[in-house]
Amino acid sequence: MAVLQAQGLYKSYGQVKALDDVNIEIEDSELLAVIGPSGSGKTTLLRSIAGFVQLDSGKIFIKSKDITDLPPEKRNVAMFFQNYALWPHMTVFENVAYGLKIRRYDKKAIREKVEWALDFLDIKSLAERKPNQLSGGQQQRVALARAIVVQPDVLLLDEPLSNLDAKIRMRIRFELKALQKKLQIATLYVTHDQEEALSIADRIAVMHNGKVLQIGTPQQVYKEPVNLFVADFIGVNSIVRIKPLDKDIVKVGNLEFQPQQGVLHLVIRAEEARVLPAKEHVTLKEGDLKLEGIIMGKLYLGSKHRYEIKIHGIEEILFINSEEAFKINEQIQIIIPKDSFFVYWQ
Amino acid sequence: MRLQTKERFIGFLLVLPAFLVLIFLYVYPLIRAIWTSFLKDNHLTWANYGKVFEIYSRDVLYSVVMTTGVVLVVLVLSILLASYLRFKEWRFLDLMYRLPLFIPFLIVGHAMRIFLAPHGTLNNLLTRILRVEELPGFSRSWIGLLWTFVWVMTPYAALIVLGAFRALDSSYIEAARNLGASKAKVVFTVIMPMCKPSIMVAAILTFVRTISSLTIPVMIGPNTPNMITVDMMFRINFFNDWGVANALGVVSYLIVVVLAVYYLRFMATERGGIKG
Repeated sequence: MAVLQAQGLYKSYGQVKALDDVNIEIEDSELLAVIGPSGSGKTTLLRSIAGFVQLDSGKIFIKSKDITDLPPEKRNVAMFFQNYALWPHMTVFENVAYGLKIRRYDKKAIREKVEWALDFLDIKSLAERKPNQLSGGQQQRVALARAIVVQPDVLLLDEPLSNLDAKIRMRIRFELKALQKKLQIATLYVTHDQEEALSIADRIAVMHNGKVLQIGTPQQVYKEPVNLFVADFIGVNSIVRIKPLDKDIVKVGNLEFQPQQGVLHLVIRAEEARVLPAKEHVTLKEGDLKLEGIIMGKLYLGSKHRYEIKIHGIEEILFINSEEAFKINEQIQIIIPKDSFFVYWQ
Repeated sequence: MRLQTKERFIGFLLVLPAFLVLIFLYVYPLIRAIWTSFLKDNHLTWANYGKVFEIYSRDVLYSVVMTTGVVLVVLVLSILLASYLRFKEWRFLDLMYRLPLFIPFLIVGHAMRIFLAPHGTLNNLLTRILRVEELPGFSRSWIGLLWTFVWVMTPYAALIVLGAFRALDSSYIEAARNLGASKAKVVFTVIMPMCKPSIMVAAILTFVRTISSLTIPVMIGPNTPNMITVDMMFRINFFNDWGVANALGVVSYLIVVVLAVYYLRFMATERGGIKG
């Protein structure tokens, strides 16, 4: 059963459409990640569910109850803020207990629930500390404890990992996913980091210019992007644009394409392409793309190199990573499996 | 080494004008006032202070109580106003509450005399509404004085408090509302505690400005008891008694110093610095 349903949400700021007919649903215990570039409307969507943005039109239901016109304090959704928003004048215990006090739980129940939340997030020892005595990671856990302790119907996470450094972020991804599954709370997770979304979400919604372009499992969104924007936004890609001359067949590497309206955009999942020496014999599977080119430049990235490659007959330069070592000006071939490149005409 | 001396000298020259202003307009008059408060017939004595406590102890108490009352009312009004404007944008109110800032005390005093007089604007209106013949005027009573002080002081305090409320990152407020707190609850549990330093500043500035105000108590206040400043003026104008006037001045200064020390200690604790 869908815990959260957002139907036909519209919100404009002057001429800018922040939400343009947005429809989403989150099932019980599901984690839906909303991704998109800055200004795509993902934070507006999150804030409208929390009740901080007044919609122009549309309806929001939580457990089938229409909450569209309810003030934020009556929605029973808990939001995790990007900057954690821990109140500096309260201790960790007081921060976590705040929502329970507002709900008029008795002292004993508050203590028990707060201790459970602190224990759950492994921060029991920090209970008497003030937020300014905590590290970023600890603050993040306190903010999460504060959100989950009230047992919300929906948990809203606004870029929860963006303030942490890269190493901790990787570790917390696993923890967050495990935690969400354990708690079984329907969760909306907003991020601009597609890798984070792919690794943590049950489903992903890709937003652009206020519209939801695609909703699907991480595999669907990665392997079957519905349009050029989604294909380009997800994964590490190189795009080749080719304008067909007259009505000729467009030939790219070993493949030929029938000309359509506009320009051919070839999105290549650079992380799945293999760079090999030009002379190496390769058996291609049906539909695989083979390009030939020359190494123009390279960057050392530790375990691999990042190559700048000029493809024969194509103006644009491709950037592809490979563990193999090539020299500048060396002739190479690039093999791209058939489900790792996408063709769009626009 | 020589360069260091030269740099120090230039630094000294740069702060010299400000230093001189401080010496001549603050330190010197203060020391002179303290010195004079101990002089009677060219002899050092406690006599002036004796007179202060003999004749004016009631006025000193009255000044402190009146000023504290003004501070409390002003704070309540400022916090109400700032809370309202923090949650709701209302340009008209935003502009109107600041208007009194631009009206001189003398004009306010005169306007309030007319407004609060026995047959003033307020009573004319009230007698008609209540259908009574006569009502007492407030213009020469503690109520009129409190009213006028509040009218004058609230915009200053509200300006400081509202500035602090608006500077507070919205996420702190939204986090509380998100967890079920009403707007009023958010004000008491989140906004006010987080803006405590600014509220303290507003309170202390209101206290200092009220206790040192002369124009309004002279024009609106009752004949007795009086604010300290009015007593000082009488002591000089009618008795040419600078000794007692200065002793009264030192007493009001000490009251303010107590507040200043309390404030500095509070700020040090807030910043996690010197405590206790």
